[in-house]
Amino acid sequence: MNTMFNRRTFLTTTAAGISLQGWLSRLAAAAPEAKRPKSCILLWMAGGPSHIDTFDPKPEAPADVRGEFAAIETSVPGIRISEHFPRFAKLMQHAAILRGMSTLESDHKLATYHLHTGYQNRAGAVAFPCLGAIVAKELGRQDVALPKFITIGRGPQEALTSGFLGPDQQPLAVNDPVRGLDFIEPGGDPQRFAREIELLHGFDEAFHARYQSPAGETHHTSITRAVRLMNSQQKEAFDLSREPANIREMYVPPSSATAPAAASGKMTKMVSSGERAGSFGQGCLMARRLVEAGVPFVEVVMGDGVGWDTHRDNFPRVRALSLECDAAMAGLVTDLQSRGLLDSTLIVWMGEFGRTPQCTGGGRNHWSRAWSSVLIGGGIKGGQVVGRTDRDGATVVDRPISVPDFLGTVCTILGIDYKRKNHPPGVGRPIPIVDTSKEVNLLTQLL
Amino acid sequence: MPIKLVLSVLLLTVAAMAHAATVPAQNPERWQAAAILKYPALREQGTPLNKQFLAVVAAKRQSEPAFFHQPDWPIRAADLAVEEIKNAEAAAKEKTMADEQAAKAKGEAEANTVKAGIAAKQASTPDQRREMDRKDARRESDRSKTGWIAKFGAGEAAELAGLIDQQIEARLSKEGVRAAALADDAEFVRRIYLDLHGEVPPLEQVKRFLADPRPDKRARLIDSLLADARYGQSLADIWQGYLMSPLADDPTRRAERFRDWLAGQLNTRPWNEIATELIAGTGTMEDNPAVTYLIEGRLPRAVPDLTDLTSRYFLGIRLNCAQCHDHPFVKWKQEEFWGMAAFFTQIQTPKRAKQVYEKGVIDDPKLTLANLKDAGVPDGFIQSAPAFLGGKGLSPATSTITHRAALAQWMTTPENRWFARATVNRTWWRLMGRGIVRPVDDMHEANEPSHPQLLELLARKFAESGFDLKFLTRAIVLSRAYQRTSQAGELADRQAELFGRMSIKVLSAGQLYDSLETISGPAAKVTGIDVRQGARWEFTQFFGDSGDPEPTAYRRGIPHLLRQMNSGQFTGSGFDGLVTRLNSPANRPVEETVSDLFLTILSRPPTGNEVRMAKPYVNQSGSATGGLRELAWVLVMTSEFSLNH
Repeated sequence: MNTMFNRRTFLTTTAAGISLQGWLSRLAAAAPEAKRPKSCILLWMAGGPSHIDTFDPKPEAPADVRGEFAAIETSVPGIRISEHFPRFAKLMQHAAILRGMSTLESDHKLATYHLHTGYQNRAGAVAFPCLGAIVAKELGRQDVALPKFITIGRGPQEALTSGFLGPDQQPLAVNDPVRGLDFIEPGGDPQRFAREIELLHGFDEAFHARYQSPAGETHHTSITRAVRLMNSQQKEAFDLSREPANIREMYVPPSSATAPAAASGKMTKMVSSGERAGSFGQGCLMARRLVEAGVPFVEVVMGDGVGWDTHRDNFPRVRALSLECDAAMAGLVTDLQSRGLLDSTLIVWMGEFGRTPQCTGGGRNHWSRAWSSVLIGGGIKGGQVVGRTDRDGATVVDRPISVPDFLGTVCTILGIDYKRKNHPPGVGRPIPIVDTSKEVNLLTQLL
Repeated sequence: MPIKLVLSVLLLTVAAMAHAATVPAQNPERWQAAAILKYPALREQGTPLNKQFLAVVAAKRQSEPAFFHQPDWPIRAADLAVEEIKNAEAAAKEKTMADEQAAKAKGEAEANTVKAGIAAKQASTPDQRREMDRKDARRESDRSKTGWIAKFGAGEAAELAGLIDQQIEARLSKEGVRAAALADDAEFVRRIYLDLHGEVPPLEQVKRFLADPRPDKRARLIDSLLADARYGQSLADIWQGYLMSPLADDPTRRAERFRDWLAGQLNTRPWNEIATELIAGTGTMEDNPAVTYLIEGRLPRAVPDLTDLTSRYFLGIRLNCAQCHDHPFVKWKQEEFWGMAAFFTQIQTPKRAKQVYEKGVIDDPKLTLANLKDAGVPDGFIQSAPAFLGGKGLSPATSTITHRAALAQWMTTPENRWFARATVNRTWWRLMGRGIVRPVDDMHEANEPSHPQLLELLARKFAESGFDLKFLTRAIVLSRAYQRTSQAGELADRQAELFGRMSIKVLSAGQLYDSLETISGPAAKVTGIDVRQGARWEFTQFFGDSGDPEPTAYRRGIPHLLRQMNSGQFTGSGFDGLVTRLNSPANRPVEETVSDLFLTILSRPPTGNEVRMAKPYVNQSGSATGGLRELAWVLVMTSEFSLNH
């Protein structure tokens, strides 16, 4: 009846932890790269970046569409992107730009939910899980004390949910990567904490003997797992101070990049509202550490508050955001590559939609009919562009990509069968990982 | 709205007075808000409570400036004001009672219509009777506010509780399963507070209840909890979660306004009237918070979403599958979904998202499903005239009212078989942890209720009562079925299925927050917890569940437990205060303080074994207060604290 509350097991799992040395060497000795289970890092561009000002430049378009930025050549002849992604341009051979994104929602929250879960948010009994929770469930490893889905930076709460997959897949949020993970250390000294946990166990044991409640046992298991993480060396993955200065620097844009932005007080305030300057880059570095430690899904959020939602001051803000993003992305790709992790780590760059071709009043508005996302690494065939928009970036003229097409492809790259069905409790019908009610056309040219 | 809110005036006055004395410790706005949450009458200027409150503040300023050092002084002041009003009322009543008794002595027998209630009244002492009369007076004041008069009182509720038990016990004996014993008083007091007020009972209440020798003390407690405004507030908290999308714009402010409105309604009006306000309301959210449901139920495709929400929460039916195709297992056809959807089309605006916030809900007869075609919906909007479930269309008699008003009228007639059953099943599900029909909102022919006669009985009585939710709730919680223990025993699972044993529920995020606040005072400011939208809102978003989680399912993992254990949001300085309060005088025996900690956090005294574990623990800690604080921390981390058992 009460087997899971064996005191000995409890104390062993919580106190022993896993030594860092053993953990690192086991990773190093792990099977050849090809066999390493895949991981995914989602770079979430909150607010919806302009596709025209980033990865789908339109130099032929009229000035009010073309905007202020020039297009530059990349390492792949013929593929041109915004001048404010200079570092990433040199890594284009690893990436595919998807210029045919064409989706159904143009409200921030609805679109964010749609892109994260693959389903439109409707009233209805089903709480859909987001991509991170799906990957956590499908690819999570038992030997890792770290949660299988971790978010960095303040993200869209309502979309970062495990839905019907439940608490095991619920993301652990790192609010500020520079500060590290909040609440991972006990409030008092560790010895006192150990005593408290032992007393807690005694009380719980007596309660479970009296009440035998599965809910209570799950609570106790969750505590046990949280304590295991607190006592595990793996939590060092959250500590960026362990990273050499030269690696930390890789993720930081040149100082000149942010200087002009800082000149306009109002604008700087908007760009950085609620977010520490440069924290996105450090978040990407933490994502690399976490993936290295065996976490299958990390989502790094760029743009708390206003972010890429540039209804006003589009050009100075997109320039500053792009340069910060460029340094972080390029740093991440280079760093992963140098560690032999790029082929097993898929990086997804996307927001909830693109922005209008017409630039009015210095800003661009929401545009979901045609926009761009980027996939990097993960063993895909890089150096290509999929899909094409018209001269003004207003509609997709070649290979429109729906949300199910997109997420089905991401799942396939990660080795997940996107058609697999979950059976959520109380729903009464199976729910496929990706909505298959309409035909799903995978982007086979990437696989 | 007839009641003009003068919250800000009151707050300014209070703030000014408090400032004159001394600035209260932390977060004064929060605590004034908390006092108003506890006593909504505070926000209306000129109410007896409001006047008394200001009088208390003025008196304390003269006599006890240190009073304002307490972080929760506004609540304490409000408590004192309430106490003084009660005393004055009691004195007045006593006089009336004496007169009445003199009259009775002359031989006038009271005509008894309310059976059990009157029986209890006859058996009680004058003291108890006085208390009961005060409850009646309170009901009186509720009536005068809304014009609604409850048809059924405590007697009818007790009678229905008896019928519930007859049905459940007959079934148990038929299946050869013995019912579990009744819960002890400690189990009961914690359960009833969590279920009716959404928080654990305060220490004094636990002590008073456990020490109360009167045999009918459970019924008395139920009455007083139902009469307290907190009942409607905690129920409103739940319904606001059902009826407002988490994706709503500006959720906190709108949710708060909507919740306040719901609380007032749930405290004073029957469910059919509330449902009508929600479905047929017009105007802006500022003028008529009821329309928050129509505007923020779902964004921005209101028509299909309102159809689904309305059928699930008010009728206990899942129509949403039939939006795109005929339901595979159930009789619902696509035409039924769109027939219901057609009732909501008149409030849709082509550019709804922007206009509806400014202009509010307005009916435009020109709008039909045909001109609202939405490519985002699979197969688009299917053209249909409004048709009630079952196929009937609008009758000429309803031609003078809006489509939604006609829908509300049809839904809330006593003859509508879905409306009462849905509400009964949801109320039962919430209180008992398990629906008579499961899942709670999926009622159809192929999904048999576990107790069909019980469901029919409750639905019939609920309709007869005039859809009085308090009556329904009172009847359920008065039943033995509700008052049984949840402790393990033989055939425990089978017992729970047959309602012969209480199911163990999990504290919702709101219950967790409010309980922690009851125990340790206001949430502390903590790095890493973003309270820009309000501490309680943030907490319920973080710990909450989307949708309708089963009340018995535990859905928290590593992120939640790390925060609960290590954030110190409640267990930091709040626990210092708790321990200091309980651990005085300084030479108080440690057993007594330990016992009070158990009573505060788990609403029960410790067992002998627990004292044997706790005492040496406290003694071995560096200091007694340190040890007691750690003990308090351990107690809020227990499985028992996370559960409503």
